[in-house]
Amino acid sequence: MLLFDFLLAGLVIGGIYALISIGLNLQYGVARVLNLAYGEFLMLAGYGAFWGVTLISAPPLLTMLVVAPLAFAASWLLFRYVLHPLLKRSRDAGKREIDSILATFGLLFVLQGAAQVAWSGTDRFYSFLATPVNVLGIVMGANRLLVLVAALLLSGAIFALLQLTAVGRALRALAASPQTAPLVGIDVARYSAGAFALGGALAAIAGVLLSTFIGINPTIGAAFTMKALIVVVMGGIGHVLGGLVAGLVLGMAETMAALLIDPGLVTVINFAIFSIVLLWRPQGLFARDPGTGAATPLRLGRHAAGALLLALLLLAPAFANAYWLSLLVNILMYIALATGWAFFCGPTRYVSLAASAFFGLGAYAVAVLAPDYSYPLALAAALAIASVLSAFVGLATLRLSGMYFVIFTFGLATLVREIVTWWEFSVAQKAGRHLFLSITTTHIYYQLLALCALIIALWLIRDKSRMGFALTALGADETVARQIGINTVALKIATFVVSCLTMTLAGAILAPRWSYMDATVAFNPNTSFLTVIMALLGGATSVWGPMLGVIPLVLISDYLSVTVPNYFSVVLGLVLLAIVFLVPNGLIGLLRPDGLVAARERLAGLLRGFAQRLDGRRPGSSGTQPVPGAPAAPSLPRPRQAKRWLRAARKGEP
Amino acid sequence: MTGAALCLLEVSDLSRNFGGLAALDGVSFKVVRGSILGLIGPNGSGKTTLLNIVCGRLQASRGEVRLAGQPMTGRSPEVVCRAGIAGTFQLARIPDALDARDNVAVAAMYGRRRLDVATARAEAERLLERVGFAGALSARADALAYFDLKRIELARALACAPDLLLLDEWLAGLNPTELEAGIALVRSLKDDGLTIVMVEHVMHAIRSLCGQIVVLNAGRVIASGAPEAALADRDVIRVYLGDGP
Repeated sequence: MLLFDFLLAGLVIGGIYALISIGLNLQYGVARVLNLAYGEFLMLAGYGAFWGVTLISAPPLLTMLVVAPLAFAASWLLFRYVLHPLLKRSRDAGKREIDSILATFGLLFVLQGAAQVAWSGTDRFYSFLATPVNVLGIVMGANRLLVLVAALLLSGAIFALLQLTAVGRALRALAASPQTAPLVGIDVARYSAGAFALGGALAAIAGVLLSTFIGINPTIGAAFTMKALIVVVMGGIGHVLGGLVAGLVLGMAETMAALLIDPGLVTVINFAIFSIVLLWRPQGLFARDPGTGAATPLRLGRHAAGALLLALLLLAPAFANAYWLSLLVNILMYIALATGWAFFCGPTRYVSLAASAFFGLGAYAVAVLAPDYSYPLALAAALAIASVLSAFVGLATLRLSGMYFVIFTFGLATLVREIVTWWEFSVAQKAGRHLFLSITTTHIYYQLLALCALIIALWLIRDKSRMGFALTALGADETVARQIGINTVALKIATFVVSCLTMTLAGAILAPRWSYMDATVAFNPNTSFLTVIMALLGGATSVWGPMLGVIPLVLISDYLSVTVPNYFSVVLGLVLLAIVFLVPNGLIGLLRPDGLVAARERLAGLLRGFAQRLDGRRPGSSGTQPVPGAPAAPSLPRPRQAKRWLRAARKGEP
Repeated sequence: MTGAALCLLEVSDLSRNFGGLAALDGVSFKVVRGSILGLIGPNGSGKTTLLNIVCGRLQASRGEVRLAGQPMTGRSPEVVCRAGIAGTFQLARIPDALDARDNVAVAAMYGRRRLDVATARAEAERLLERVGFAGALSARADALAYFDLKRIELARALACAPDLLLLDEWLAGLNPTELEAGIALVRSLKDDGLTIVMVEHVMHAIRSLCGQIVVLNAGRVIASGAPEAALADRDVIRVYLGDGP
């Protein structure tokens, strides 16, 4: 009987997973936006239901009829006026993915921070239909039954919409091939916006349903975005039925694991299943075609500002006070992480979210081994473990690319953290580690500086050697690279291991800074996100790029956390959004000759477009606007295009 | 034993299935060292599949490829390249992350020779001149003419220093003047001692360059031999022109 109870509970949460994965599938599969703020719509709708019940005692199902259309409209506006212009400006699929990740990540910060400010971080519960009902001999809450039925009905309805109607056929065509869809008369801009909006509405519905049996707080969104992503990938991008099955399976697997094995290992098992599925069938359990990673061009930046900076940094401890020194340590830590990350991920365009795993390994190895044995031994152990782990993840790059690799590395980081947590709790029986090492901040500072210098030197040497050329060729077109005799497997794994060892060393060096450490501190996933954001912000394809992203972001977050602690994440998110819009090639792009001019033009363009919209004049009807990825309609060259063409033609001459 | 020495590439009983479809079905032929073999056939007859297997991009379902007696089947593209097979892609694939010269130079840095950066760049300049590249050395793919992209493709393949060169419709899409220049270039490569297998639809080029051709249809060899004789074969005329009255 107990088993059935758990199975049903699993089905309920699985129904929610299925619903949100279908919504995300519409957004990612059809509208081609990886919306990291997806879960925030769920969170806001959950709050809507809560306030509806508590303030005007409106039943949640009535609230749903209001918030779902609201979410639809908000998503539509978000896509039409924020994301679509962002995607339209670049024809490179990899660039678009990075842009949409950065922009929606900023949005996530804004919405989450706003909710935190407005409603505080406490869980908001209300009671709705909490009466037991008897279904087939199993007693369950009526609210849970309602959620299960609603989720299944809605999933079925969306499936029917996609399979049976003309609109559904257009959406499926768009998911299958955005390039050819316009050729058969599908209005890509309209259907993309529609799919994105429908996805947002589904998230809102899921949020209302969820709030009937789970407390809502501002941070709930990100976890559900992650779950939805996992289910989408397991089910196959663009496959609704696959998502439904995968969602239910994931929900049941979670509850069964909690019942049969150990509640502490739920996440471990979750991600273990997911990793196996991903490695076994990267295209998803139900998809027919393998996913393809986008091979995109990259540029090597100029190496100018770095040397002077390094000289200044060497002298810093002599004149910096404790506050500035600790700020510098922060900056250096992220420079080591972001540069180490970009050492592999920049030229190859793989986005790894495993930085926290390697940083944490280094830090935790020192915390466990250094007090009882010695610091060098701890370092050696950390490097040994990290080498094995990074070689394993490096092997995964042979099978996975694009979004699949992102999610795999995130899952791996979570897996490592959960294993350490579980081991500390169940085997070592310790809640955390106390560190008393006689290592000063100045020591840490110089060690970090040496580490940064090492990785930058390695990068510079690589750029000058054959290996730099090989890596550029590999990042641009792996098939070509192999055909001209480059052993891409060895190259990728070697580069990835170096990249990960740098991050491990950063963790090991930083460890003495904490007097107390547990797994949640060492393996904080924010480390991964910040590393990626900083590197991409600065420009990951050149050696000086990452640090250009690190410095402003560390300074801004330091300043904001002191001056406006409450609005910290809102402002950080807005800054991030502004940067993504105005500086698309990373800050290093500004250092190029035409970088500043381009940024100014972009700002002027944005303002002009905004003013036109205020005037009510459209800058062109939605039906005829060129769409990212779609072939542009043939047209006569306009004066500006002609000028550009002439310039290009002139440059082509010897 | 002289037969083995003369024969550079030997393809025997090569088959490849895509699901239920047999793209290649028991294809066998030999290529004599220093000769040009033309591989022709209607679209979908398996020509590109065959080239892809020879250069290691695809695995064969059955059969064998040998280069100078060494088995190549099942080897990865980079191993095949180092054994001495290089080729061009049907649609020119020139990443614009690298400029024209470095696209060729990187093949000279790897390939069979592993030259250092400076030597490889000098070699790339030499090879680009050799194939008649007319653009700027520092130009990127998006700023170059179509024929120049094809020339970079060829120079990159040559930079691997192969014994066997595979050309996949390298002459397709050229205008009449460029075509004559292209044909002369391929002939001069043969005169330098290179063995070439070319997939081509331009019959004029096949007739004037190839000592021997293999005609594929639906994954099978339907004729082979000297171009004039093979092209006059009844089966070949039927698959190209349909049944006569």
